[in-house]
Amino acid sequence: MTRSLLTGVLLAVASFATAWQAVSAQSPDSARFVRGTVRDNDGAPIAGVDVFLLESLEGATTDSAGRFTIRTIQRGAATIVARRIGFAPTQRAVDLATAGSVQISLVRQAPVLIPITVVAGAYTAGSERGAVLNAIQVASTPGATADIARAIQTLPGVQNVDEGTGLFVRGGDVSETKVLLNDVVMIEPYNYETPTGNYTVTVDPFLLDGIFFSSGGFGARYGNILSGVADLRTQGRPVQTSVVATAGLAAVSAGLNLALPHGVGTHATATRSDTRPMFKLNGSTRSYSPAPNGTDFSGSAIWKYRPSAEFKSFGIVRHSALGIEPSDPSASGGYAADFRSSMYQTGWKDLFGAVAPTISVSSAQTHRAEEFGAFTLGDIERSTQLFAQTAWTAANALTLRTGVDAEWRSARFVGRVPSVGLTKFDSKTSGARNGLFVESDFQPVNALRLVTGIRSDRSSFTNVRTVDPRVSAALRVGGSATITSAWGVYHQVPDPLYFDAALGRPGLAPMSARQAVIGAQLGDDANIARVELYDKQYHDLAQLSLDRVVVGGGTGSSHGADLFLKGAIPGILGGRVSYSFVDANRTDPTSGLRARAPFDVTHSLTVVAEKNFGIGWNASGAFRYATGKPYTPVTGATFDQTRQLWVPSYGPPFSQRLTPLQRVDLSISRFIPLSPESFLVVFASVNNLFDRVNVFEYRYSSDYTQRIPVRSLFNRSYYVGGSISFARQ
Amino acid sequence: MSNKTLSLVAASALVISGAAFAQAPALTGASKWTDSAAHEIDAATDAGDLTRLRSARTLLDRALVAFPNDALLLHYKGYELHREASLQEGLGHRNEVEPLLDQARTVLEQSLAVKPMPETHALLSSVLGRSIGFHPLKAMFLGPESGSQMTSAIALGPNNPRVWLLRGIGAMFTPSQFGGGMSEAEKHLKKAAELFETDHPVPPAPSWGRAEVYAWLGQVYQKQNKPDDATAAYNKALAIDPQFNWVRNVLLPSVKPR
Repeated sequence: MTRSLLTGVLLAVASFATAWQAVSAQSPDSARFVRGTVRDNDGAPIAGVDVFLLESLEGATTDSAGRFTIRTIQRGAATIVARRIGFAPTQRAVDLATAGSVQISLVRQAPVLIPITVVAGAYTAGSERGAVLNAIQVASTPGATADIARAIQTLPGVQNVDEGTGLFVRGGDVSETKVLLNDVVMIEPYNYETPTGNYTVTVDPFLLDGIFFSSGGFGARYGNILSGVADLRTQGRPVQTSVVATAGLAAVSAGLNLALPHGVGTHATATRSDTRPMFKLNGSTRSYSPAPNGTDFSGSAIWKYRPSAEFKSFGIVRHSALGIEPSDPSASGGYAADFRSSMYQTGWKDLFGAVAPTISVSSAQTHRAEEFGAFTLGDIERSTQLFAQTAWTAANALTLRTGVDAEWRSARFVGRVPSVGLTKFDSKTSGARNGLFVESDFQPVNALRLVTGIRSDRSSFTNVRTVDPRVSAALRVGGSATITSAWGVYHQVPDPLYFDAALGRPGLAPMSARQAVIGAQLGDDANIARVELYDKQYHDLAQLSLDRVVVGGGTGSSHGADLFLKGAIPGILGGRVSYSFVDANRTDPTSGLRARAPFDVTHSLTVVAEKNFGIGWNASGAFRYATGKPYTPVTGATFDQTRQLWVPSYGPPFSQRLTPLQRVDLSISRFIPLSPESFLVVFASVNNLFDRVNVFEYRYSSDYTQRIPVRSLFNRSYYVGGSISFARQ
Repeated sequence: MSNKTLSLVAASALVISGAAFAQAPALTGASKWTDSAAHEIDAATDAGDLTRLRSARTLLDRALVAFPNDALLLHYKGYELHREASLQEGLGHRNEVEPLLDQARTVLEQSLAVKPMPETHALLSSVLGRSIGFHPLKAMFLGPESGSQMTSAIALGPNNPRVWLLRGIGAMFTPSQFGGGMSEAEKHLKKAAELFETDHPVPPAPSWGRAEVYAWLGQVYQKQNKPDDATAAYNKALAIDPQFNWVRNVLLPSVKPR
């Protein structure tokens, strides 16, 4: 018993002794000092360097002479670390007993670079930081009816050629701008296309995570595109399970988002659209039979198996139909259309250290049946695409990207075209294109970003291999100003229809454009002022004449200036202004003369203002102005006894203009929380508030003695709707 | 000295020495620095000392050189940035706040990628919620993301008092129609206070918030016009942490008797 007690006491004493030793070892008297100097590779002292011992983390900051003094209780071997932004961190082993004055040299390097996100011609929209527009602004743009293309039209570089959704970019035709979904091209991005305008882009903006839009000067990653790119990215895994139901005057839809375990999630949406209630309320500038209507289903499945990696599949199936009854004396019949389309896309991306591979494959199909009075066209197109890219972050400031893309297209055209002497045709065409690219994204100094790339494409339609070098640079000047420039060569294969043996002109060359852009931007987030000047030179353009004959070898040019202002007076008003000036001309395929381009809309101005009235209420308004689009006047007509019809004679091509386009739109929405897990959004809008009569085109009486203006699709129209969402927390 | 006395002395000595070891556990490696930084952050927060708070960040930055992927170090760096943002906002330096919240978000996401912890999810939820104030138009994205992070926090730590503390604070700044409000805040903060009674995290696991919960509860009571309850809550906070300057110098004097 006594022994055990003694053992206990000894243990206790030993414990105290150990504790005392530990305390005394740390007493100030036993502290040592490690002194030294830090210099750069030119021998100049560096101030503000954090110098510390890795083992004890004791450290100090260097003074203006680069000197440091570290007070330490360390003994023996130690590792000194020196770090400062702008220099490569260094470590060195020292013996503290013999170290003396430690001399450290730091090598200057590109610091943790502040990325330059401003790129010539490029705008982004999405939820990420630094976006020019976010998804809510896309959805709430007045007059845009939550349509992506219409929201993009409020960005500079897009001409307000008419009130449709077509993206006419910097003097280029609508076909020169491609809409991509998860890296692959949508062959049918629009819904309800009519000869007098179209209504919407297919994809619901709330299915999207972000949009990249470029009006020119884009990099080598984008092939087979002459003018502009709208690159849409679908959403990743939903953060919570939710159900959404939306009803409006022209459509009802339901959506289900599932956040499942193990990084799995799904989105699904079904929409039934029917414009009859809307036209019943507002009237219409056309007489429809049937009114535009359709259904679409879309869904996606995502497996985010680690933070930097995911599999994502997206699919959309659509059907739409409409008919327009003839409204002018020249028409021998109305217009009717029936579209069916589907697109399935699967992609994978991952990150292995510094290497980030991406693969996307898709299969798409469209069936289109159209009747223009005597002219009928059935068109079945299939497209299979592959895109694969690897990005390698080779160094702090250098990323190398290389990739391939391939596309297999087939098209069958069935119909009747009286004017080219064919009563019937049934023709098939098919071909493939492959491309590869290499691109370097280099930020050699904090203020400069250089993207240089080259791509090569070959299409079996043209049997020509093209080589496109592209360069873009961004130079940051001062805190928030950036000067941008880009130059590049771009090629695009004409539509497969143009190569059809019966209808087209096999042997067409790939169309080409040479673009040069220079601009400047002030600010990069909430407040932006941006101006860009550009020049484009076109060659080998393939176009359709008034008689729908394919004509190749066209040339053209386009130059202009774009201005974009975005800003907010906090708590009062926010908004953006886009202005585009363009001077575009190209070969007129009917006369062969070089003339104004059909989409040479000299001035396009869009002003959007939005006001948040506090939680829940939001109102916005937009004003659009555009110079009237050019048209070729009919100067007279002669009667063709053989064909028993009047044949018009034309004045100089595109020598006259329609009246300027003007339109004011308003929208208001209210966000009403119902519970922590559910909310209701109600919205109302007035499009074309002042019921301005904008002319889409002129048509003529059968003997061409009467000119009849065809009003654009949009009279003053009211729209109301609501959306309710339930989430599971 | 009798055997009995010797036994008592020995037993006391063992208890004392044992207690000494228990209070100063032999933390090593990243844990040691995490614990030091945690104490520094809490002391700096108590004192409202921005310089000391930044020193804690320097310590964390140095430790992250040695242990770059340590989830707790990353968590505490996010926690420090969150605290620094609050302090800067309190000082009226609004321009300083957003970059700090951005950094906190990045670091907390890095920490979660290494090892998800309830407090990290809850802190990230708080950071995202506060970011809405700087980007009201992004509320539609940041709100659900913040809610999702809080859901993950509760799923991982249903009885973690710090999660309920942050949920309660969040509710104070969320309008009632969005699921917040003072009643909700009171409910969550009371739950947090109750959970703190049995919360004994082993260092260097997060242990902050024990006194702070009463500081926030007191503010809720003030908003509800319950000055006596507010005073009691602030006194409770000071009983737990007598150095809590914010409570002593700002909150307690602000209580106006009924």
